[in-house]
This record gives sequence, C-alpha cells and structure tokens, in this order.
Amino acid sequence: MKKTQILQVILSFFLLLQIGCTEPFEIETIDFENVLVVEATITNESRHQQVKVSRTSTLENPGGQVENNAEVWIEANNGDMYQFSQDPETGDYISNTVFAVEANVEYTLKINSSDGLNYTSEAVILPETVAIENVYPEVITKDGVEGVQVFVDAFDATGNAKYFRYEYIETYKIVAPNPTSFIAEIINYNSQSETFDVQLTPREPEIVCYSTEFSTGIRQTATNELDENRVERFPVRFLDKNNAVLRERYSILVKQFVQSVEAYTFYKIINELGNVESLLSQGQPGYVSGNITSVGNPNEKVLGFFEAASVSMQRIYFNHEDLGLPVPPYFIDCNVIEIDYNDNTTLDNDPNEREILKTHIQYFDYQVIFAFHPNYLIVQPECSLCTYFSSNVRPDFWED
Amino acid sequence: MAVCYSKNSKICEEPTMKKKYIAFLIALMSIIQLYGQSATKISVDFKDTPLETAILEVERKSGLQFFFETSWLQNQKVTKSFDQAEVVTVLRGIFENTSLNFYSNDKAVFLLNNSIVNDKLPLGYFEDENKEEYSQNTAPIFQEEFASQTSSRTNRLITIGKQNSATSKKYYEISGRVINEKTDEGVASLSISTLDRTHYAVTDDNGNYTLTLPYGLNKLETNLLGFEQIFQDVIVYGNGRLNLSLTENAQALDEVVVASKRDANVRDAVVGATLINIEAIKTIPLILGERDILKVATTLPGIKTTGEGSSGFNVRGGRADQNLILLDDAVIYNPSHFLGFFSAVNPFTTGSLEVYKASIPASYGGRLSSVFDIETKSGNTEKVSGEGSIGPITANMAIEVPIVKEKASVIAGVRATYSDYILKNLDEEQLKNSEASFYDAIVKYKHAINENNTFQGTFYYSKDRFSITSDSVFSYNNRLLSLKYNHRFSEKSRGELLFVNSEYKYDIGFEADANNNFDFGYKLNESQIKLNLNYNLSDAHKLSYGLSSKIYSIDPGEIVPIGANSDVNAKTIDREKGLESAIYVSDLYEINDKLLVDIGLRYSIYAALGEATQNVYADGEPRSENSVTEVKSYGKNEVIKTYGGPEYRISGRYLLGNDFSFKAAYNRTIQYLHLLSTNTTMSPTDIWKLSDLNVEPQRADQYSIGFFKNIVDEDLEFSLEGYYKKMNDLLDYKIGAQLILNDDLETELLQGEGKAYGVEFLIKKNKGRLNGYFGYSYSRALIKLDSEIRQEQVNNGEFFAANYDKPHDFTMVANYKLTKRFSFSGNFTYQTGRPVTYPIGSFVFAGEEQVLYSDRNQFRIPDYYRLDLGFNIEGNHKKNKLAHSFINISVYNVLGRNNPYSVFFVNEDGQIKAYKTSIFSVPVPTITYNFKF
Repeated sequence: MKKTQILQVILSFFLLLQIGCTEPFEIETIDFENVLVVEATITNESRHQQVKVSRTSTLENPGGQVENNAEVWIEANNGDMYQFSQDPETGDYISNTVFAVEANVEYTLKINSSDGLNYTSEAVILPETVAIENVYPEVITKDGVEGVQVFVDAFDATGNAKYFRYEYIETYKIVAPNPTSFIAEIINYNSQSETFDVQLTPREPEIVCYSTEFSTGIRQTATNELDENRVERFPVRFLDKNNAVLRERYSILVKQFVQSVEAYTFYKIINELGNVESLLSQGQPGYVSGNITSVGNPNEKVLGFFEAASVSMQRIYFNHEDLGLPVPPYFIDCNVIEIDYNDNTTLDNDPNEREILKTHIQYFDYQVIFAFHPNYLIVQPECSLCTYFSSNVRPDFWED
Repeated sequence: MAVCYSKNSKICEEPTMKKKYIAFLIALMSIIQLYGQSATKISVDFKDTPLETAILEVERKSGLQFFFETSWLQNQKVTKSFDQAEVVTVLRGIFENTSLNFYSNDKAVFLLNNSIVNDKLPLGYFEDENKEEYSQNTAPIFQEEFASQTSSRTNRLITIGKQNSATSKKYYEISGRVINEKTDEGVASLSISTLDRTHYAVTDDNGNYTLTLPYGLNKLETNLLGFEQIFQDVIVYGNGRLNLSLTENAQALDEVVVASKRDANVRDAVVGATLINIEAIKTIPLILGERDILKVATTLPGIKTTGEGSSGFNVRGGRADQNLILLDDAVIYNPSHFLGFFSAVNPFTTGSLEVYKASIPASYGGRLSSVFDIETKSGNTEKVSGEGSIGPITANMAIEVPIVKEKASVIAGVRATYSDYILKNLDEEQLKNSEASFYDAIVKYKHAINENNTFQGTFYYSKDRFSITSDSVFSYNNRLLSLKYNHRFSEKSRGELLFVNSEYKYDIGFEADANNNFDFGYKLNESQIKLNLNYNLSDAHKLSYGLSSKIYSIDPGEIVPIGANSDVNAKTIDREKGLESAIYVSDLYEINDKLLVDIGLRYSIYAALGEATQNVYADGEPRSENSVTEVKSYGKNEVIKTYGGPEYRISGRYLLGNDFSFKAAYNRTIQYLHLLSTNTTMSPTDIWKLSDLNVEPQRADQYSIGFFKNIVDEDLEFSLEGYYKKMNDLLDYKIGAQLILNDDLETELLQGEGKAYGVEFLIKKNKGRLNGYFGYSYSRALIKLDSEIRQEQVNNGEFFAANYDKPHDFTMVANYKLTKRFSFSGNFTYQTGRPVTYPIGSFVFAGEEQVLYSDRNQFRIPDYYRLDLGFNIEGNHKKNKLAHSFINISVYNVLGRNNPYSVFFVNEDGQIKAYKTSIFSVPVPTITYNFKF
C-alpha cells in the first residue's frame, strides 16, 4: 500500500511537471526595431479607400504607434494617381477622392515616411470578383458551447478565385430594460444632517439603440485544394447563445475579399504567428516579408502588404427566437435597488440606504427609474440609458 | 605490499651517491625517496648460500634495512666473496645472475624483481583492487573507440632483464613459449610483433619463439586467427624469457572486451566513431529509472539534442533527420517513447551502440550526418537467464533461452509502462482523464548452424499512445523485421545477406463535441535487401564490398471524418515511392607500419517512382500554384526523376608513436529522404518525404582530423578532433508552412546550404576507483537560405545559427566506487542556450496586436546546465543466489535548474503573452530495482 502511494506521488509529480511546465513570463524587448507597418486593402467598391501606416512599438508598450505626416499615394499604370490624407482622428490615411479599383490596372502604393524614407509596393491587380452566395446562421455547439454560427457560402464559376478573406460588421439593436424619464441630481446636500434632495428633471427616455462593431483578426479560407472553387459553410462569426447582442435584433454584414495568393499567404502567416501553439512543440516564427520595400535599402524590414481585393458583401438579420434560442441575458446584470430615503443608518443591520442613493447617483451614474419620496428605485445607467454605451441613431440600412 | 622482510633498523652513515629514479617505479613505490646508497664497506663470503640467507647477511653487516619478497629469492643460490667492498658492489655481485635489481636510500634497500619469466605477476605485487578490475568490467566507462577485433586482452606491463645504466647494447633477445591456456600445448604459427610491426617473430610447432627487441619500452601484440589477441607491454633491459598463455577465441569471454581495446582508439583508421557498451552504463544517474543508451550517447561531444523531451539528435551540426538509426540493421524511425523522454530501445536486450560521426563505413548510406548502429545481444546458448527492472514508470523484463545448446538461442524483451493504471487511480481530475502508455517488445533468434553459417532474425515492435488534451488521442508505432545470414567462404572471405523491413506510422484521433472530429494517419514503409562481402586479399589489403537496394513507400497523410456529423472532408495525399540502391567497395590498406588507410567508395542512385503527378514550376518565381507551368503525370513505377552520385569514404591513420596517432577523414554522404517538421524540434507528427521532381537530395561533405593519445599506465585516453562539414540542399520551410495534408508541399519548402565546424575534446579514464570521462566541444551549425526571390530568403540570405547550434558543450560523467558494492555517480552538463527567434516589437494588424520577430535565431535562450547524482547498490556477490540484484537511486537535475526548453509567444485576446516551457524544472528522484538471473 505504502509503496503504491510513493509510486503515485512520483508519477503525479512527473505528470504535473509535464503539464504544468509552461509558465508565462514578462516579455522585455531585447533589441527594439522600429519598423514601418502598412495595412492597405483597396477594393472595387467605390469609396474613400483607406491605408493604415504605423510603426512598431516596444513590447512593454504594445499596440504600435501611428505614423503621422507621411505622404501616401497610389499610382495606377493607367496614369491615375490618388492622394491620401491622414484622418486626424483615427490616424489612418484616407483617399482624397472616392475611387474604385478597376480590373486589369496595376496599382502601386508609395509612402514617404515622416523621417524622409521612401517605400514602394509591388504592383498589384484586382483579382476575380466572386459574389457571396449565401450568409446564414445556424445553432451549433462549438467547443462545448451552444451558440449561433454565421456561415458563408460562395462559388466562383470561373475557377480563378481561390483565396478568400472575410471581415464583418455587426449591428445589433439594444432595448434598455429599465428606461427612465428623469435626469436625477443630488442637490441641497447638508453634510451635518446628511440630508439632500433628489432633483428630477424630465427627459426623453433612451430605450432603443443600435451598436455597430467591426471584426478584428484575420479570417481566411482557400479552395485551392478543393475540386471546385466553392466556399461552403465557412464560419465567419460565432456567438454564444447567451451573448446579449442576440437579445433583440441582430444584423451582420459579411464582406468577402478575394485575395491574390501572395496576399493570402501574408495574412495567413501573420495570423498563424499570433496563434496558440502546442505545449511541446514550437513552430518557426520569423520576420514575414510582404510586398513593400524600402527604396534603396532592400534589407530594411517593412511589415505590410498592399493588396487590391475584389469585395462582395451580404447583410442578414436574425432574432434569437428565429433560431429557437431563449432570450439571452442583458449585457450586464441589471440590479434595481430599492431605496428608502429615511433609512440613514447602518445600526438596523442593513445598509444606509440614503447614503447609497447619494453615492450611486453621484459617483456611479445610477439612474432613478421610479421616485415617490422617500421611496426610489435606482439602476445602473447601462440598464436605463442605452446611449450610455451605444447610439440611438438608427442606421440607414436597418430593417426591423 | 605483502610479505616484507626486515630485521635490522640501524641508521647508517652518509649517503654519497645519487641515483636517478626510474619513472615507472613511481607508480609502484611512490613514497620512497631515493638518495643513494651507503658507502659502508662490508666483507662477506657466500658459497652456494641461499640468496635469502645472503641478503640477510648483508643486511646484518651493513646495518641497512632490506625490503623484498621472499618468493623472489626461492631456489636461488649465490657463490661470491667480497672483501671490504661497498654494499653496492656486493649487491651487484650477488644479483648478477638473477633478475633482481635494487634501489636504496640511507636507511634501506629495496629489492625489485625486474625480470618476470611468465606473464603472471607475483601475486600481491599490485593492489588486489586493480587485479579485480582487470577482469571485471564493472567500471562505468561505457564507451570505447571502435575496434574490429573480436576478442583480445591486454596484459600488465612487465620488465625483462634488469636495468643497467651503463649498458651500450641496443638490442636484446627475448625468447619464450606460447601455450594454449586450456591444453597447455604450445601454440604454433602465432606472430608476436611490436605494434608497428618493425620487430616480429613467429612461434614454431612447439610454441617457442625468439624475438629481438630494442632496449626500453616495447609494445607487443600477438596475432593468430582463432586465438585471442594479447597486447603486452614490456620494458626490455636485457635478454630474458617471456612466456604467454592464450585462450582460444571461441571461449573468449565478453567481459574481457573492454580492457582489451585500449589501444584501438589510437590504432584504428576510423575518426569520430564511438562504441557504447550497455553493460557499462548502468551506474549513470537515470531519469525516471530508465537506462537509456541513446541518452548516454548525447553526453558525448558532437552529439546533441535541442533539449529534454526532443527525440532527435544533432550530430556534428547536422539536422535531426540525418541520422541513420539502425536496430539490428533495420531503420528505426522514431527511437523514442513519450515524445522523447525515453528511448524505445530496450536496455536489457541491447548489446552495444556504435556511433559514427565522421568516418561512416561505405556499407552505410542514406543519411548525411551519422550512423547509430544498435545491436541486440545474442541470447545465452548455455542456460536460461534473464534480467528485469522495476522503476517508477516502467517495468522491463528480458529473457534468454537456449534452443539448441551452444548453437541457437532466443532473446526476448518486453517493456511496458503502468502509467495509465496509475493515472486512472489518481484523484487529480486533470490527470485522471489523460492517457499515456507505451510498450516495446523485441525477439531475436540466432542460430549458428555450423562453423561457417549463421542465421539470425530480429522482430521489434513499439507503440505509444497518449492524449494531452482530453479530446485527442495520439499514437505511433515502429515495426521492424531483420533477417541476416552469415556465411564464411574461407578463412579469408566472408559474406552476409540481409533483408530488413521497417514500418513507422502514426495516427491522431480527434473527438470533441464539435463537428470537426477526424482521424489522421501517416505511414512509411521501407524494405531493403543488402549483401556485404569481406575479403582479406593480403595482410596489407582487406576488402569490403557489397550492394543494397531499398524501396520506400510512404502514405503521407489521410484524413477521414469521424461520425456522421463531422464536417471534415476526407482527403488522401498520393502515395510516394522511391527506390534507393547502392554499390560499395572499400579497402583497408596498410601502406606501412605507421600508415593505415581505409579507402571506400559508395555509389548511390535514387529513383522517385510513380504513380504520381508532379508540378513543374517556372524558374525565378516563388513556387506557388501561380507559377505552375505544367503538371506531369507518371504511371505506376514510372521513373519521375533519378538522383545519385559517388560518396567518398576515405580515412587514414598515421602513428606518431606507440600510443599516439593522427587521423584524417573525408566523407561524402547523400540523403534522399527528408524529415519535414514545422516544429523547431523533432516531434512524432513530423513527415518523412522522399526526394522527387521538386525536392533535391541533401548532400554533405565532411573533413575531419583527430589526434588520439593513450597513457596506458594511467589508463587515460585523450582525443582531440576537429571537423568541417558543408551541406547542400538542406530542407527548411517558409514561415508558417503547412506541411500536413498539403498536395503541393514543395511550395512550402526552401532548400539551402549548411555548414558546421567544431573541435571536440575527450578524456576518459576507464579504470580505478574514480573513473569517468570529460568532454568538451566547441561547435557551430549554420544555415543559409538564400534566393533571388525575397520572400524565399531568410535573414537576407546570410548564414544564421541553426536551431540546435549550441557552441559550448561540456559534459562530465564520473563514478566513484566506494566499495565493490556501493558506488556514487554523477553527471554534469553545461550547454550554451539554443537560438530562438525573439519578438522585438509590437504592432497592430487587422485590429489585433501582433509581434514583430527578430531575424531567425538571432537570440538565445538561457544556458542549459544540469547535475544528476546517483547511488548504486550491487546485491551481494554470493554465487548460488537466485537472482543478482542492482539498485539505482538517482536524482535528476539536483540543482533544480529551470532550464527553459523553448519560449513562445501567443496572441491571447489581442494581447501578446510570452510563455516558457521547461521539462524538468525541479529535482526528480527515482529508484529502480534491477535483477538478473
């Protein structure tokens, strides 16, 4: 008996080491390299095209740094030239004019950085256009979690487009569960008597809002190893069935970019280098060279890719009940607090409710949803005013 | 020192003369300081006086104390008289016709017997301890340089005649008789020669010989087919007799082997070769109780691993796939269990491991950097015997059974882990659901049909199965079959015919709740037929030649969905086939006594065979589907492409002295099978790929030199080797390559140059209480991936350090025998940390934080060091015990050094997190019980 225990100890020890031998540590930049980063996709959609120019930052201060005051323009071999100007808010460079990429025209991105160095991309052309056939939600279980998966189907009859990248913009309706018609304010506070008045000013309730979010990260698929250039059931977005965005109406605009093989590869590698790797083995990381080089110094590292991509979009709407899902909870746990203004002591073995009323309104932005002095109902602002975290502007495209 | 005689101890007068001490005597009588001898004059008269009586007389009269052993004096008489002669003169006189010599200081006279008439030393002349070790191979020195000799023995240094400082004679005559130890009959036609063969003699029909030898130290060897070889060092001071007794080879015992090859490292023509004897590694501290011959190999200079838990070896700057690992001549593709923590070779059935790092014999081919030739023991043909062990993770049992007495036997070994059973009984939830099991089994049958014909066959199977996450199960197995038939055509000519087959496959099953359940499989099979012939053309020329042909068949990947709900599409990558054939010849040519060369040439040819389709890519463009200009289809067994070429295997030795040699070698190797791995270390999911239209074979040229020196009396062996290796078409991958289930794998591959160079130093002490070895190497391994196309360049097309480039590597293995039963052992290893690609900045792309990596392998992880200690207890040595036991208690990583194995960086929720992995970051104690019957 004793012996077995010892064996167990040794073995579990061993396995714990095996399993628990990976530990996080603080990264420090050993040898920081300030590298120009370019993210530029121009499309056949007529719009103000966008180019992101930034620089690497140290690991201690992650997030990169915007490259200000660069000169950015695109040259087309049909003689066109498009100048870009920096958007002072986002730091992105936006084309001065609206334009769409045309087929069979070569485009080259040029950047003169703020420190006077010149960069140029390889010439790119627009790939084949492939329309999205279908975007549809389905209830599935992924990694043990039930939820809604939005799939995309696409088919390219020409057989030329094989590489696809997806982005989405999701917009969802929000209905505040505890709307209020007042603006509450604490006035006439007397610190001696600890008395105050709650001044209520009527207001338009903010009940319905619409939030829009842009996808982040890289989603790609390729059909090069399939018999047909058919994208089938590509999972674009997964939503946990308890995700509050599904509480009212949900809409997703899926954008499909047809990429060149070079662009596809570049995005794929960037994506893979940032993904989880297995415990005992390690993939080969390294510097990924894109299609942008420094003029005169080909060995200078430049991170980035300039691509011309054909885009196709499709928007769908759905509600949780359409999919037979229960109502998901609200974004936060709405906690309506009943206040008796007259309770101003903790001696009754219950909180000082008058104190709560004051601090919650003053410091935590709690909203008064019901008032009949000395009784009040207060709730978190998110539950009362949807504009607290969203917008009451109904998007033009919105269909109820 | 035994029976010493002394009677008188008066102090005598002034020392007058000084005499130089002879170096070799220091070893025998280290404490004695010699001043000279007494000037006292004495008068004595001897007439047929027994020598002993005479000496006692001198002792009494001179007042000096005499030390000697009475047995030296027996049956010797002296007739001499001296009148007022100095003691020196008296002693010279009485010892004139004897083999005795003497040294004295002002108080004492030491008699030395300098002429021993047979090869056995007077009992007790040396410490008992040494005597024991001589025949018992219990020392932990488990490696020796390669030697082709089957059986030999090295005798103790002896001296003949007595030293006479005034001698002017340069040569003396040594005569004697050589007898067969068993029959006491003379051994005829035996040659006795100096190692350099400048002086030799041959015994007559009665075993008598006469040999002329120069004054001083001579190294003799005997040579006669069918008898053991004896190495005998003699110091010749005068004429004398030297009798030897030999045993017949057939009865030579294994145990003798180690002591015998002490000169082989100096004398062979092979550079960079090492033999590891399994029996001798048993005292080395173990990790989890497993005696592991391959792990021990990695403690030698020039053989490295990327870290604990990596299954490959990097030999002299070569990649992990460049090692030909043979188990009884069959290739073992994954020689490790459990991701490299244990070797898959059963230690109890393993006889020896020979590693060739530089001079790869011409009979081997197909890998660039090394050959690991593991040979299974032959079973005991006399009686049933066995060996077993119980450790914390595994139990192991081997048994040897004679089938036909003295002719045929079987050896079988099985090893299995009970980790699964223990895991299931654990309370820890995380561990309860994990799975880890492995086993391996081996059977070897050997049958000596008659004197000229031997047959042997080996079957081996190993399987690993484990799951690290609860929804995936990973398994792999090796299966080997080896059949060998040896035939002796004549005394001069031998041959062997081999058939081997190896299969390696792995499987990954993934079953989670989601609808992406799948089963992935990979399989490699190879069969080889090989004929090796040896012909001893003359004393100077020994030829080896032969041919071989090997067929490969690889199923590079198949994925099938599991369950009806799985969205995974079934896919199979086309089978790859290849035929690799070679013809070789080599001549071991002894040009003169000093110069020995081994000139070998191997010509290998490889054909990639259909049925297959292959893409042709446009030149000067990155390989991608866009640059495909043509897709070629090939029919079944149609030749797609052939590669081949000569592989030179040349090495030579030049003796700079009896115990000192210089060697040089040039080696070319070609490799047609490549291991593809997205990991920086070897892992079981790696893919072996054959050369085809788009993948060139790898080629290497290695130049090596070495100096080898033995100090026989101190039992020390030194070697200093240097090498330069140039490799072409090494395989590497584009960053983020997708290797599994890729039809157009070549689009992910890069082929580049490699170069490696280094210096390796090794000192070994094979005997004595404290023994062990110390090795140091400084080496570099560099790779260059250059291309016209920028995307296919790595580090701007300049040389960079390979993943396994660890310049400084220091290892010490020592064993200290406390008593015959108890010993301590220790290992210490220090290595430069291996190179890594480290993040040097952060940036945002596609709305997520990403890291910018440095140039490939620009930085290094912290240095690696580790100390292991062990304590070994041998069971008592009673003869008629049921089983002989051996207990090993060891602690791995005593210092608890947290040696990072890898560092990696992960994007978690848009944030970069850094992780480091270490395998054994705390001391790991183990106790293992071994028994033998």
